[in-house]
Amino acid sequence: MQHCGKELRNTLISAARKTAGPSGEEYLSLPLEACKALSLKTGLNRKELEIAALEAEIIPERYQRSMGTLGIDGQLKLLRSSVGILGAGGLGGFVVELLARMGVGRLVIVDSDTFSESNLNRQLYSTENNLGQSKTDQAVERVISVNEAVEAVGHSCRGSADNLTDLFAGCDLAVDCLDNLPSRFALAEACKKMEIIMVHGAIAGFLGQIAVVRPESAVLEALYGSSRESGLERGVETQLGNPAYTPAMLASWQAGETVKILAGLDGVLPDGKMLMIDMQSGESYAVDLF
Amino acid sequence: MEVTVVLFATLMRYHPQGEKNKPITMELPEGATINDLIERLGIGENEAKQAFIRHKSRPFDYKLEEGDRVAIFPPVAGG
Repeated sequence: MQHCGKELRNTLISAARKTAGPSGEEYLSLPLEACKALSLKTGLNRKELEIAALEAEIIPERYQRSMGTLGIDGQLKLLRSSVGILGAGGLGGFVVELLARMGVGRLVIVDSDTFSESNLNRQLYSTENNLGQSKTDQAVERVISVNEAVEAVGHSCRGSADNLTDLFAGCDLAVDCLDNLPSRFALAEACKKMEIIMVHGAIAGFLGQIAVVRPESAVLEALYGSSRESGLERGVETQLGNPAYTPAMLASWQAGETVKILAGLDGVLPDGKMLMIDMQSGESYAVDLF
Repeated sequence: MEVTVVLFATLMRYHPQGEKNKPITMELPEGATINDLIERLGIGENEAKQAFIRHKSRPFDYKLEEGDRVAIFPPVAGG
């Protein structure tokens, strides 16, 4: 049964409970069990229900610790957002996890690969029990178990210039979690066509780099030269490999930039600015690429 | 002129004294470029991808100045 606005608001208020936050400030909290029960009662899906609660200034308890940085307005923006994630391996697994926990409303995850033993050192969703299984299937399953309000869509295929605009249709932003340059350039091309931002990340050994690529910007060309001209497909990760902590660190930066952009927060990396972080020497650089 | 160079990741093996994490002090002729510096260190073609000086990425034909601190990185593309 669909509830009308006022009736729904009253239902939510009577299910909410006054709670004191860590700073002592009181707020109206909606516990997870109430979200589940009200979703069944009202016929709204979990995302719609959480949006209705936040609009009534009731905070689903699961987001309470995000309020200090996002506020109700920022959380609403995240729940109404859609993000495409290309690559569900080292970076992608952590990015999916973090965005699901933050409550980004829709995640479209694209990867053609299945889990293998060499993924176990770093890829969050690989386990000894799911080797050989689709990375996107595992990611979708995980999102549902972490946050049912998030709509997770998996495509077990290779993202290319031909299909990415269709796969990521409706996405507000795309996150580059790729392990090769031709696919990165294809994603940048698709983002340009869709006029959406691409949050670039790349890792090798202890090194990680991140940049926020605007649709009209030539960040990848500045970083790698023209992929077609140089023939470069991979970087020194082929020699250094990827230990567990580097993708976790870089994916956190990517998720942070993504959240800032979607929620309209300050401090998004400006166009042409790149962060290069080396965990081995302890040095980090914020440089202008052009 | 004197410049300081810091090498990262796979490029650390080109440190002349083998002290991987220590900056290298180099004496170069006036007008020397990043390319000259890379060649002097014996770094192979295409092994270096980015060079940063004073918070900017610089092309490899950039003319170095006295006191420059140059950070040189290989290509990073993994995920």
